[in-house]
Amino acid sequence: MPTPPPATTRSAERTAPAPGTVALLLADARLPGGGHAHSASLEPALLGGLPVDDVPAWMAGRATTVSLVEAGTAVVTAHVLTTGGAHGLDAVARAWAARTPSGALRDAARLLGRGYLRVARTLWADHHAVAAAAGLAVRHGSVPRAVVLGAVAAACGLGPADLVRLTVYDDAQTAASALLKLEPLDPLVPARWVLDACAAAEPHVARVAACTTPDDIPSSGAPLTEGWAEAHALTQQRLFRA
Amino acid sequence: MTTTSSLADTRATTAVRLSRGTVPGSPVRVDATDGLLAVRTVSRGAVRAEVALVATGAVLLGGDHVVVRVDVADGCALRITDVGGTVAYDGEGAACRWDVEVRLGRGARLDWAGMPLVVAGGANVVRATTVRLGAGARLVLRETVVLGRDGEHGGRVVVRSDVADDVGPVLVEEVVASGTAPVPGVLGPYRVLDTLTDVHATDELEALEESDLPGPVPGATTLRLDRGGTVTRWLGAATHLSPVERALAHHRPKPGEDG
Repeated sequence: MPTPPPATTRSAERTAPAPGTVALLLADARLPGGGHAHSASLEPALLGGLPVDDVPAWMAGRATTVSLVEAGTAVVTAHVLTTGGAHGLDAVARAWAARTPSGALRDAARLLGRGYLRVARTLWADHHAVAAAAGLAVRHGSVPRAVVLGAVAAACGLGPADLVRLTVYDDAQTAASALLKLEPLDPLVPARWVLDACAAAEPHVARVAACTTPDDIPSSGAPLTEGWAEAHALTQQRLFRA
Repeated sequence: MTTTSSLADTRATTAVRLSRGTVPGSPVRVDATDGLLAVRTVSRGAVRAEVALVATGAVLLGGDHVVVRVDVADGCALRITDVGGTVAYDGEGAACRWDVEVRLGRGARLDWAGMPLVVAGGANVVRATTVRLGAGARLVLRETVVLGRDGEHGGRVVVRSDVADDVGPVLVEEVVASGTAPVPGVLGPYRVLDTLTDVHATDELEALEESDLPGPVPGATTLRLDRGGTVTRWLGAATHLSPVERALAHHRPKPGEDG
Protein backbone atom coordinates (compact mmCIF):
# COMPACT_ATOMS: atom_id res chain seq x y z
CA MET A 1 0.00 0.00 0.00
CA PRO A 2 1.46 3.42 -0.88
CA THR A 3 2.44 5.82 1.85
CA PRO A 4 0.02 8.71 2.01
CA PRO A 5 1.40 12.07 1.00
CA PRO A 6 1.50 14.45 3.98
CA ALA A 7 -1.34 16.91 3.85
CA THR A 8 0.37 19.59 5.84
CA THR A 9 3.61 19.92 7.75
CA ARG A 10 1.71 19.64 10.98
CA SER A 11 0.00 16.34 10.14
CA ALA A 12 3.25 15.00 8.67
CA GLU A 13 4.82 15.45 12.05
CA ARG A 14 2.18 13.20 13.55
CA THR A 15 2.31 9.48 12.98
CA ALA A 16 -0.39 8.71 10.43
CA PRO A 17 -2.56 5.61 10.89
CA ALA A 18 -2.11 2.89 8.30
CA PRO A 19 -4.64 3.20 5.45
CA GLY A 20 -5.95 -0.26 6.37
CA THR A 21 -6.79 1.03 9.84
CA VAL A 22 -8.78 3.88 8.33
CA ALA A 23 -10.67 1.32 6.22
CA LEU A 24 -11.55 -0.56 9.42
CA LEU A 25 -12.81 2.66 10.98
CA LEU A 26 -14.97 3.49 7.95
CA ALA A 27 -16.45 -0.02 7.81
CA ASP A 28 -17.23 -0.03 11.54
CA ALA A 29 -20.94 0.43 12.25
CA ARG A 30 -19.96 2.14 15.53
CA LEU A 31 -18.61 5.12 13.58
CA PRO A 32 -21.34 7.76 13.74
CA GLY A 33 -21.60 8.37 9.99
CA GLY A 34 -25.35 7.95 9.67
CA GLY A 35 -25.26 4.51 8.06
CA HIS A 36 -27.44 2.98 10.78
CA ALA A 37 -30.53 4.64 9.25
CA HIS A 38 -30.00 2.79 5.97
CA SER A 39 -30.59 -0.78 4.86
CA ALA A 40 -28.69 -0.68 1.54
CA SER A 41 -32.01 -1.25 -0.30
CA LEU A 42 -32.85 -4.37 1.74
CA GLU A 43 -36.00 -3.05 3.41
CA PRO A 44 -37.37 -1.80 0.07
CA ALA A 45 -36.59 -5.23 -1.41
CA LEU A 46 -38.41 -7.15 1.33
CA LEU A 47 -41.40 -4.79 1.17
CA GLY A 48 -41.35 -5.21 -2.61
CA GLY A 49 -41.68 -8.97 -2.28
CA LEU A 50 -38.13 -10.34 -2.25
CA PRO A 51 -38.32 -13.67 -0.37
CA VAL A 52 -35.91 -13.84 2.60
CA ASP A 53 -34.47 -17.03 1.08
CA ASP A 54 -33.34 -14.95 -1.91
CA VAL A 55 -31.48 -12.37 0.22
CA PRO A 56 -28.04 -14.00 -0.16
CA ALA A 57 -28.38 -14.15 -3.96
CA TRP A 58 -29.72 -10.58 -3.94
CA MET A 59 -26.68 -9.46 -1.88
CA ALA A 60 -24.31 -11.15 -4.32
CA GLY A 61 -26.24 -9.48 -7.16
CA ARG A 62 -25.75 -6.06 -5.54
CA ALA A 63 -22.09 -6.71 -4.95
CA THR A 64 -21.64 -7.26 -8.70
CA THR A 65 -23.92 -4.46 -9.94
CA VAL A 66 -24.87 -1.29 -8.03
CA SER A 67 -22.10 -1.65 -5.43
CA LEU A 68 -19.56 -1.52 -8.26
CA VAL A 69 -21.01 1.78 -9.50
CA GLU A 70 -20.40 3.18 -6.01
CA ALA A 71 -16.96 1.59 -5.81
CA GLY A 72 -15.92 2.88 -9.24
CA THR A 73 -17.10 6.37 -8.31
CA ALA A 74 -15.01 6.28 -5.14
CA VAL A 75 -11.95 4.97 -7.03
CA VAL A 76 -12.13 7.65 -9.73
CA THR A 77 -12.69 10.34 -7.08
CA ALA A 78 -9.55 9.22 -5.25
CA HIS A 79 -7.61 9.08 -8.52
CA VAL A 80 -8.71 12.56 -9.57
CA LEU A 81 -7.90 14.04 -6.18
CA THR A 82 -4.54 12.29 -5.96
CA THR A 83 -3.30 13.09 -9.46
CA GLY A 84 -5.08 16.39 -10.00
CA GLY A 85 -6.14 15.04 -13.41
CA ALA A 86 -8.05 16.94 -16.05
CA HIS A 87 -11.43 15.63 -14.91
CA GLY A 88 -12.69 17.53 -11.92
CA LEU A 89 -14.91 16.20 -9.19
CA ASP A 90 -17.98 17.74 -10.87
CA ALA A 91 -17.56 15.34 -13.78
CA VAL A 92 -17.23 12.40 -11.39
CA ALA A 93 -20.42 13.37 -9.55
CA ARG A 94 -22.22 13.80 -12.88
CA ALA A 95 -21.06 10.38 -14.07
CA TRP A 96 -22.33 8.85 -10.84
CA ALA A 97 -25.73 10.59 -11.14
CA ALA A 98 -26.14 9.42 -14.77
CA ARG A 99 -25.46 5.85 -13.55
CA THR A 100 -27.95 6.13 -10.70
CA PRO A 101 -31.30 6.55 -12.50
CA SER A 102 -33.41 6.16 -9.34
CA GLY A 103 -34.03 9.48 -7.59
CA ALA A 104 -34.73 7.62 -4.34
CA LEU A 105 -31.30 5.98 -4.47
CA ARG A 106 -29.58 9.27 -5.37
CA ASP A 107 -31.30 10.95 -2.40
CA ALA A 108 -30.23 8.15 -0.06
CA ALA A 109 -26.62 8.29 -1.28
CA ARG A 110 -26.52 12.07 -0.86
CA LEU A 111 -27.95 11.83 2.64
CA LEU A 112 -25.23 9.33 3.50
CA GLY A 113 -22.73 11.63 1.82
CA ARG A 114 -23.66 14.40 4.23
CA GLY A 115 -22.99 12.15 7.25
CA TYR A 116 -19.72 10.88 5.79
CA LEU A 117 -18.61 14.39 4.96
CA ARG A 118 -19.10 15.40 8.59
CA VAL A 119 -16.84 12.51 9.61
CA ALA A 120 -14.26 13.36 6.94
CA ARG A 121 -14.14 17.08 7.71
CA THR A 122 -13.66 16.34 11.39
CA LEU A 123 -10.95 13.69 10.99
CA TRP A 124 -9.07 15.05 7.95
CA ALA A 125 -9.84 18.73 8.37
CA ASP A 126 -6.62 19.89 6.74
CA HIS A 127 -6.56 17.63 3.73
CA HIS A 128 -7.17 19.14 0.28
CA ALA A 129 -9.08 16.03 -0.91
CA VAL A 130 -11.69 16.41 1.81
CA ALA A 131 -11.85 20.15 1.15
CA ALA A 132 -12.53 19.35 -2.53
CA ALA A 133 -15.45 17.05 -1.61
CA ALA A 134 -16.78 19.73 0.73
CA GLY A 135 -16.48 22.25 -2.10
CA LEU A 136 -18.52 19.99 -4.37
CA ALA A 137 -21.19 19.75 -1.67
CA VAL A 138 -21.34 23.55 -1.58
CA ARG A 139 -21.57 23.89 -5.39
CA HIS A 140 -24.14 21.12 -5.92
CA GLY A 141 -25.95 21.30 -2.58
CA SER A 142 -24.95 17.70 -1.88
CA VAL A 143 -22.26 15.13 -2.43
CA PRO A 144 -22.81 11.38 -2.87
CA ARG A 145 -21.34 9.04 -0.30
CA ALA A 146 -19.04 7.40 -2.86
CA VAL A 147 -17.33 10.72 -3.62
CA VAL A 148 -16.69 11.32 0.09
CA LEU A 149 -15.31 7.80 0.46
CA GLY A 150 -12.98 8.49 -2.46
CA ALA A 151 -11.86 11.74 -0.87
CA VAL A 152 -11.08 9.98 2.40
CA ALA A 153 -9.16 7.31 0.48
CA ALA A 154 -7.11 10.08 -1.16
CA ALA A 155 -6.56 11.72 2.23
CA CYS A 156 -5.32 8.58 3.96
CA GLY A 157 -3.65 6.78 1.06
CA LEU A 158 -6.05 3.85 0.83
CA GLY A 159 -5.33 2.03 -2.44
CA PRO A 160 -8.00 1.50 -5.14
CA ALA A 161 -8.45 -2.26 -4.71
CA ASP A 162 -9.01 -1.89 -0.97
CA LEU A 163 -11.37 1.01 -1.65
CA VAL A 164 -13.46 -1.24 -3.92
CA ARG A 165 -13.52 -3.96 -1.26
CA LEU A 166 -14.43 -1.45 1.44
CA THR A 167 -17.35 -0.11 -0.60
CA VAL A 168 -18.69 -3.58 -1.42
CA TYR A 169 -18.25 -4.80 2.14
CA ASP A 170 -19.95 -1.76 3.67
CA ASP A 171 -22.93 -2.16 1.37
CA ALA A 172 -23.29 -5.88 2.11
CA GLN A 173 -22.82 -5.45 5.86
CA THR A 174 -25.37 -2.62 5.93
CA ALA A 175 -27.93 -4.94 4.33
CA ALA A 176 -27.00 -7.82 6.64
CA SER A 177 -27.35 -5.82 9.83
CA ALA A 178 -30.64 -4.34 8.61
CA LEU A 179 -31.92 -7.84 7.93
CA LEU A 180 -31.52 -8.75 11.61
CA LYS A 181 -33.85 -5.89 12.53
CA LEU A 182 -36.42 -6.97 9.96
CA GLU A 183 -36.37 -10.77 10.20
CA PRO A 184 -35.70 -13.11 13.14
CA LEU A 185 -32.51 -14.93 12.21
CA ASP A 186 -29.33 -16.37 13.70
CA PRO A 187 -27.03 -13.29 13.49
CA LEU A 188 -24.19 -15.40 12.13
CA VAL A 189 -26.15 -16.49 9.07
CA PRO A 190 -26.07 -13.09 7.33
CA ALA A 191 -22.37 -12.77 8.26
CA ARG A 192 -21.77 -15.73 5.96
CA TRP A 193 -23.79 -13.96 3.26
CA VAL A 194 -21.64 -10.83 3.61
CA LEU A 195 -18.52 -12.86 2.94
CA ASP A 196 -20.19 -14.63 0.02
CA ALA A 197 -21.24 -11.28 -1.49
CA CYS A 198 -17.71 -9.92 -1.14
CA ALA A 199 -16.37 -13.10 -2.75
CA ALA A 200 -18.79 -12.65 -5.67
CA ALA A 201 -17.38 -9.15 -6.24
CA GLU A 202 -13.76 -10.27 -6.03
CA PRO A 203 -13.39 -11.14 -9.77
CA HIS A 204 -14.44 -7.53 -10.53
CA VAL A 205 -12.08 -5.82 -8.07
CA ALA A 206 -9.10 -5.39 -10.39
CA ARG A 207 -11.25 -3.98 -13.22
CA VAL A 208 -12.99 -1.45 -10.98
CA ALA A 209 -9.79 -0.52 -9.17
CA ALA A 210 -8.24 0.34 -12.57
CA CYS A 211 -10.85 3.03 -13.33
CA THR A 212 -9.29 6.47 -13.72
CA THR A 213 -11.83 8.62 -15.62
CA PRO A 214 -15.55 9.27 -15.08
CA ASP A 215 -16.34 7.32 -18.28
CA ASP A 216 -14.63 4.24 -16.81
CA ILE A 217 -17.06 4.00 -13.89
CA PRO A 218 -19.20 0.84 -14.15
CA SER A 219 -22.87 1.41 -14.94
CA SER A 220 -24.25 -1.98 -13.92
CA GLY A 221 -27.87 -1.49 -12.92
CA ALA A 222 -30.44 -3.49 -10.99
CA PRO A 223 -33.89 -2.50 -12.35
CA LEU A 224 -35.93 -4.43 -9.79
CA THR A 225 -34.00 -2.91 -6.86
CA GLU A 226 -34.47 0.55 -8.38
CA GLY A 227 -38.22 0.00 -8.67
CA TRP A 228 -38.42 -1.17 -5.05
CA ALA A 229 -36.43 1.89 -3.92
CA GLU A 230 -38.87 4.25 -5.63
CA ALA A 231 -41.89 2.53 -4.05
CA HIS A 232 -40.24 2.48 -0.61
CA ALA A 233 -39.50 6.21 -0.72
CA LEU A 234 -43.27 6.83 -0.89
CA THR A 235 -44.30 4.56 1.99
CA GLN A 236 -44.69 5.62 5.61
CA GLN A 237 -44.38 2.06 6.93
CA ARG A 238 -40.64 1.77 7.10
CA LEU A 239 -37.85 1.37 9.59
CA PHE A 240 -35.03 2.58 7.35
CA ARG A 241 -34.44 5.65 5.23
CA ALA A 242 -33.63 3.51 2.16
CA MET B 1 -15.52 -1.25 -25.89
CA THR B 2 -13.79 -3.94 -27.94
CA THR B 3 -15.29 -5.86 -30.79
CA THR B 4 -13.97 -9.30 -31.58
CA SER B 5 -12.78 -9.79 -35.14
CA SER B 6 -15.37 -12.50 -35.83
CA LEU B 7 -18.10 -9.96 -35.11
CA ALA B 8 -16.43 -7.16 -37.06
CA ASP B 9 -16.43 -9.39 -40.13
CA THR B 10 -20.19 -9.62 -40.13
CA ARG B 11 -20.96 -5.97 -39.39
CA ALA B 12 -23.83 -4.74 -41.47
CA THR B 13 -24.78 -1.12 -41.06
CA THR B 14 -28.22 0.28 -41.66
CA ALA B 15 -28.24 4.06 -41.74
CA VAL B 16 -30.96 6.69 -41.84
CA ARG B 17 -30.20 10.35 -42.18
CA LEU B 18 -32.89 12.97 -42.07
CA SER B 19 -32.12 16.50 -43.22
CA ARG B 20 -33.93 19.58 -44.52
CA GLY B 21 -34.83 19.65 -48.17
CA THR B 22 -32.51 21.74 -50.36
CA VAL B 23 -35.33 23.77 -51.93
CA PRO B 24 -37.43 25.91 -49.57
CA GLY B 25 -40.80 24.27 -48.99
CA SER B 26 -39.67 20.86 -50.18
CA PRO B 27 -40.06 17.87 -47.88
CA VAL B 28 -37.27 16.57 -45.68
CA ARG B 29 -34.66 14.44 -47.30
CA VAL B 30 -34.21 10.83 -46.17
CA ASP B 31 -30.90 9.21 -47.01
CA ALA B 32 -30.83 5.52 -46.23
CA THR B 33 -28.39 2.65 -46.38
CA ASP B 34 -29.71 -0.88 -46.00
CA GLY B 35 -27.89 -3.49 -43.95
CA LEU B 36 -29.39 -6.47 -42.17
CA LEU B 37 -32.35 -4.12 -41.86
CA ALA B 38 -33.81 -2.19 -44.78
CA VAL B 39 -35.21 1.33 -44.49
CA ARG B 40 -38.63 2.09 -46.01
CA THR B 41 -39.85 5.68 -46.05
CA VAL B 42 -43.46 5.80 -44.88
CA SER B 43 -44.10 9.53 -45.00
CA ARG B 44 -42.32 12.84 -45.36
CA GLY B 45 -43.31 16.37 -44.37
CA ALA B 46 -41.58 19.74 -44.17
CA VAL B 47 -39.56 18.80 -41.08
CA ARG B 48 -40.82 15.32 -40.21
CA ALA B 49 -40.50 11.88 -41.65
CA GLU B 50 -41.47 8.38 -40.69
CA VAL B 51 -39.50 5.34 -41.72
CA ALA B 52 -39.99 1.64 -41.14
CA LEU B 53 -37.20 -0.82 -40.49
CA VAL B 54 -37.68 -4.20 -42.13
CA ALA B 55 -35.46 -7.22 -41.61
CA THR B 56 -33.93 -8.36 -44.90
CA GLY B 57 -33.32 -11.90 -43.72
CA ALA B 58 -33.12 -13.97 -40.58
CA VAL B 59 -31.65 -11.87 -37.76
CA LEU B 60 -30.18 -12.25 -35.21
CA LEU B 61 -28.02 -15.28 -35.72
CA GLY B 62 -24.85 -16.09 -33.82
CA GLY B 63 -22.06 -13.83 -35.11
CA ASP B 64 -24.43 -11.19 -36.51
CA HIS B 65 -23.54 -7.60 -35.82
CA VAL B 66 -26.38 -5.26 -36.63
CA VAL B 67 -25.58 -1.57 -36.60
CA VAL B 68 -28.33 0.98 -36.96
CA ARG B 69 -27.14 4.54 -37.34
CA VAL B 70 -29.69 7.33 -37.08
CA ASP B 71 -28.89 10.96 -37.73
CA VAL B 72 -31.51 13.67 -37.47
CA ALA B 73 -30.51 17.17 -38.54
CA ASP B 74 -31.24 20.35 -36.58
CA GLY B 75 -34.94 21.01 -36.14
CA CYS B 76 -36.10 17.79 -37.83
CA ALA B 77 -38.21 15.00 -36.34
CA LEU B 78 -38.03 11.34 -37.23
CA ARG B 79 -40.31 8.51 -36.25
CA ILE B 80 -39.08 4.97 -36.66
CA THR B 81 -41.37 1.96 -36.62
CA ASP B 82 -40.18 -1.61 -36.51
CA VAL B 83 -42.10 -3.85 -38.84
CA GLY B 84 -41.55 -6.87 -36.63
CA GLY B 85 -39.87 -7.92 -33.44
CA THR B 86 -36.48 -9.55 -33.49
CA VAL B 87 -35.50 -12.96 -32.23
CA ALA B 88 -31.91 -13.58 -31.23
CA TYR B 89 -31.50 -17.28 -31.99
CA ASP B 90 -29.32 -19.86 -30.30
CA GLY B 91 -25.87 -18.99 -31.61
CA GLU B 92 -24.32 -22.21 -30.30
CA GLY B 93 -21.76 -20.19 -28.43
CA ALA B 94 -21.38 -17.34 -30.95
CA ALA B 95 -22.32 -13.94 -29.61
CA CYS B 96 -24.25 -11.33 -31.57
CA ARG B 97 -24.51 -7.57 -31.29
CA TRP B 98 -27.19 -5.00 -31.95
CA ASP B 99 -25.77 -1.48 -31.89
CA VAL B 100 -27.89 1.61 -32.26
CA GLU B 101 -26.07 4.91 -32.71
CA VAL B 102 -28.24 8.01 -32.64
CA ARG B 103 -27.17 11.58 -33.26
CA LEU B 104 -29.78 14.30 -32.87
CA GLY B 105 -29.09 17.87 -33.97
CA ARG B 106 -30.23 21.01 -32.19
CA GLY B 107 -33.93 20.82 -31.44
CA ALA B 108 -34.22 17.49 -33.30
CA ARG B 109 -36.46 14.69 -32.19
CA LEU B 110 -36.58 10.93 -32.53
CA ASP B 111 -39.53 8.74 -31.59
CA TRP B 112 -38.83 5.04 -31.79
CA ALA B 113 -41.23 2.60 -30.21
CA GLY B 114 -39.20 -0.52 -30.91
CA MET B 115 -40.70 -3.98 -31.11
CA PRO B 116 -39.46 -6.60 -28.65
CA LEU B 117 -36.09 -8.28 -28.85
CA VAL B 118 -36.64 -11.89 -27.85
CA VAL B 119 -33.52 -13.60 -26.56
CA ALA B 120 -33.95 -17.29 -27.28
CA GLY B 121 -32.33 -19.99 -25.19
CA GLY B 122 -28.64 -20.26 -26.08
CA ALA B 123 -28.45 -16.75 -27.54
CA ASN B 124 -25.82 -14.34 -26.29
CA VAL B 125 -26.63 -10.74 -27.23
CA VAL B 126 -25.17 -7.34 -26.56
CA ARG B 127 -27.61 -4.56 -27.36
CA ALA B 128 -25.99 -1.14 -27.07
CA THR B 129 -27.72 2.17 -27.65
CA THR B 130 -25.57 5.28 -27.86
CA VAL B 131 -27.29 8.64 -28.17
CA ARG B 132 -25.82 12.10 -28.55
CA LEU B 133 -28.32 14.89 -28.09
CA GLY B 134 -27.88 18.35 -29.54
CA ALA B 135 -29.14 21.29 -27.50
CA GLY B 136 -32.90 21.04 -27.02
CA ALA B 137 -33.12 17.64 -28.74
CA ARG B 138 -35.52 15.01 -27.49
CA LEU B 139 -35.53 11.24 -27.64
CA VAL B 140 -38.47 8.98 -26.88
CA LEU B 141 -37.33 5.38 -27.14
CA ARG B 142 -39.04 2.18 -26.17
CA GLU B 143 -36.92 -0.90 -25.76
CA THR B 144 -38.42 -4.22 -24.82
CA VAL B 145 -36.27 -7.22 -24.10
CA VAL B 146 -37.83 -10.64 -23.53
CA LEU B 147 -35.87 -13.55 -22.12
CA GLY B 148 -36.97 -16.63 -24.05
CA ARG B 149 -39.80 -17.54 -26.35
CA ASP B 150 -42.85 -19.14 -24.73
CA GLY B 151 -41.91 -21.92 -22.36
CA GLU B 152 -38.20 -21.20 -22.73
CA HIS B 153 -35.72 -19.81 -20.18
CA GLY B 154 -33.96 -17.55 -22.64
CA GLY B 155 -30.30 -16.76 -23.19
CA ARG B 156 -28.01 -14.01 -22.03
CA VAL B 157 -28.36 -10.34 -22.85
CA VAL B 158 -26.47 -7.18 -22.02
CA VAL B 159 -28.54 -4.03 -22.51
CA ARG B 160 -26.43 -0.88 -22.57
CA SER B 161 -27.60 2.70 -22.79
CA ASP B 162 -25.35 5.69 -23.10
CA VAL B 163 -27.12 9.01 -23.53
CA ALA B 164 -25.20 12.28 -23.37
CA ASP B 165 -25.53 15.87 -24.45
CA ASP B 166 -23.04 18.71 -24.72
CA VAL B 167 -23.02 19.12 -20.94
CA GLY B 168 -22.20 15.49 -20.15
CA PRO B 169 -23.82 12.11 -19.49
CA VAL B 170 -27.59 11.96 -19.01
CA LEU B 171 -28.10 8.21 -18.63
CA VAL B 172 -25.49 5.47 -18.54
CA GLU B 173 -26.73 2.00 -17.74
CA GLU B 174 -25.88 -1.62 -18.31
CA VAL B 175 -28.32 -4.36 -17.42
CA VAL B 176 -27.03 -7.92 -17.63
CA ALA B 177 -29.61 -10.70 -17.56
CA SER B 178 -29.63 -14.39 -18.19
CA GLY B 179 -32.66 -16.62 -18.50
CA THR B 180 -30.82 -19.55 -16.96
CA ALA B 181 -29.24 -17.59 -14.08
CA PRO B 182 -31.76 -15.00 -12.87
CA VAL B 183 -30.42 -12.54 -10.28
CA PRO B 184 -32.77 -11.25 -7.57
CA GLY B 185 -32.91 -7.45 -7.73
CA VAL B 186 -31.84 -7.29 -11.39
CA LEU B 187 -34.75 -8.92 -13.26
CA GLY B 188 -35.53 -11.48 -10.56
CA PRO B 189 -38.21 -13.91 -11.75
CA TYR B 190 -39.35 -11.70 -14.63
CA ARG B 191 -38.63 -12.29 -18.29
CA VAL B 192 -39.72 -8.96 -19.77
CA LEU B 193 -37.78 -5.72 -19.33
CA ASP B 194 -39.84 -2.95 -20.89
CA THR B 195 -38.27 0.52 -20.87
CA LEU B 196 -39.51 3.84 -22.19
CA THR B 197 -36.78 6.46 -22.13
CA ASP B 198 -37.78 10.09 -22.57
CA VAL B 199 -34.80 12.41 -22.44
CA HIS B 200 -34.31 15.97 -23.42
CA ALA B 201 -31.02 17.76 -23.81
CA THR B 202 -30.73 21.03 -21.97
CA ASP B 203 -28.34 23.88 -22.56
CA GLU B 204 -27.99 24.33 -18.87
CA LEU B 205 -28.37 22.08 -15.88
CA GLU B 206 -31.99 22.91 -15.46
CA ALA B 207 -34.57 20.22 -14.88
CA LEU B 208 -37.46 19.95 -17.29
CA GLU B 209 -40.75 21.58 -16.50
CA GLU B 210 -42.86 19.02 -14.68
CA SER B 211 -45.65 19.47 -17.21
CA ASP B 212 -43.39 18.31 -19.98
CA LEU B 213 -42.83 14.91 -18.41
CA PRO B 214 -45.21 12.04 -19.00
CA GLY B 215 -47.38 11.28 -16.00
CA PRO B 216 -46.57 8.24 -13.90
CA VAL B 217 -47.74 4.98 -15.42
CA PRO B 218 -49.68 2.87 -12.92
CA GLY B 219 -47.93 -0.43 -12.47
CA ALA B 220 -44.63 0.82 -13.91
CA THR B 221 -41.74 2.59 -12.19
CA THR B 222 -40.90 6.11 -13.25
CA LEU B 223 -37.29 7.02 -12.67
CA ARG B 224 -36.62 10.73 -12.83
CA LEU B 225 -33.11 11.28 -14.05
CA ASP B 226 -30.81 13.75 -12.35
CA ARG B 227 -30.41 15.81 -15.51
CA GLY B 228 -34.13 15.78 -16.31
CA GLY B 229 -36.09 13.28 -18.33
CA THR B 230 -37.55 9.96 -17.29
CA VAL B 231 -37.09 6.24 -17.62
CA THR B 232 -40.39 4.42 -17.28
CA ARG B 233 -39.88 0.76 -16.63
CA TRP B 234 -41.91 -2.36 -16.20
CA LEU B 235 -40.76 -5.86 -15.38
CA GLY B 236 -43.19 -8.67 -15.91
CA ALA B 237 -44.16 -12.01 -17.31
CA ALA B 238 -45.41 -11.15 -20.81
CA THR B 239 -45.20 -8.14 -23.11
CA HIS B 240 -48.97 -7.87 -23.63
CA LEU B 241 -49.36 -7.18 -19.89
CA SER B 242 -47.07 -4.15 -19.96
CA PRO B 243 -48.54 -0.77 -18.98
CA VAL B 244 -45.72 0.99 -20.88
CA GLU B 245 -47.87 0.77 -24.00
CA ARG B 246 -50.24 3.29 -22.39
CA ALA B 247 -47.39 5.70 -21.62
CA LEU B 248 -46.41 5.49 -25.23
CA ALA B 249 -49.86 6.50 -26.46
CA HIS B 250 -49.19 9.79 -24.65
CA HIS B 251 -46.36 10.53 -27.09
CA ARG B 252 -48.07 9.59 -30.35
CA PRO B 253 -48.78 12.62 -32.51
CA LYS B 254 -52.37 13.69 -32.79
CA PRO B 255 -53.89 13.67 -36.28
CA GLY B 256 -52.85 16.75 -38.22
CA GLU B 257 -49.80 17.36 -36.05
CA ASP B 258 -47.40 15.90 -38.59
CA GLY B 259 -45.93 18.53 -40.84
